[in-house]
Amino acid sequence: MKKIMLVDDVEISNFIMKRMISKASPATKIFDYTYPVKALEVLSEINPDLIFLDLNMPAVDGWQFLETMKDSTITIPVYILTSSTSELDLQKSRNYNNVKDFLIKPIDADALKAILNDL
Amino acid sequence: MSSESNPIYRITYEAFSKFSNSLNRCRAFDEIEECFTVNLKYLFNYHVFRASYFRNATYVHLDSTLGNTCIHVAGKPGYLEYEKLLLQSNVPKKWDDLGQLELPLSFTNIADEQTELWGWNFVDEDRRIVVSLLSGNRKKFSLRDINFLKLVADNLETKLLELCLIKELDEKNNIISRIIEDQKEVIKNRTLEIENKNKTLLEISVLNAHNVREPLSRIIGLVNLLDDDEEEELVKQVIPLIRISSNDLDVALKNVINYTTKDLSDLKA
Repeated sequence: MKKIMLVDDVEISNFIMKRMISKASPATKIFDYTYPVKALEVLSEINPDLIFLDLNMPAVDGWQFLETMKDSTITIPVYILTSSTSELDLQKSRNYNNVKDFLIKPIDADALKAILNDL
Repeated sequence: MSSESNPIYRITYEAFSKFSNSLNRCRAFDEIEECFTVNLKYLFNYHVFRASYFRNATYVHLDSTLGNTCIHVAGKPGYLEYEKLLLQSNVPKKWDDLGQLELPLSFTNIADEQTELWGWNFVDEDRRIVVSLLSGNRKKFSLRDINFLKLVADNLETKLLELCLIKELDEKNNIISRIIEDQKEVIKNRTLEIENKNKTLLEISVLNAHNVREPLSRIIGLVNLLDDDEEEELVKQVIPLIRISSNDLDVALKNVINYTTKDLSDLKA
């Protein structure tokens, strides 16, 4: 069974993703977190197949999340899922080897299916 | 015997050559004072030698007595009364009776001696030099000495012109330097202003990218869910979420509008 982690401080965003993932791949197990710190604590334990990560979050933002993963040599694939259309954010994301793509919300259903099928 | 073959004339000419060389080396008014004090007494006799020079807005008055020379440079004329007469008449003049001329102390403190005042006005286009000389029984000045006096006047005028031009050039350079400094300050301030505006634009861009698009993307995502699935239970779940997200979008937009309006108000102020 595939495992996906959602990290987004806005609960509604996680709700949308859970619905879309469940519809595209009902067997996938979803772990959603609105507190990035909590997600980092259980990351190694859950060991998901991929992470959908928001950038703009309080306390620990997406960049700090990625830095922590890098420092811990955790190479789980990450898809950045953000509402930001900033070119600067896109360029910055390329500095992280485990970031597979930079997706802008709302994610397209077909694009999500393609990602899930590749797992 | 011609004047050129006269030994006194030759000695005087050598003295003039020395004076001319010394004057030529002068780079400042105080050096001219020193040159006149040292050399002028070997060219002709005088109690007081005075030269008044004018160019543009600069007036130079040189007073030389035996043992002392003083140059006064000013933006206003300091002509003596008899010099004003010379300037008006444009012809050389000699005064035997000095009582009516309102002369300064240096001209009148020569005791027990009959004195004469000689004056010339040399005019040349945009410049003019008035030269005068006070002679007396013990310091006789004769018509033969006028040749050397004219040479002195000519050399002095050339040197004063050079120093005045340098002074004018310095003043213009100072003005240009001040303009350059002012321009640098203007450019610095404008650059800072542009940097601040760019910073504000970037902040607005970040606000738009994160705060405004975030609730908007939620609304689009929620509406997309309804497009794909119209089951009643989902609709009941999604509608309140759309409402929450719409309110969040409203708040975010108001914040951006307030921020940009404040910035525009600051610019106007």
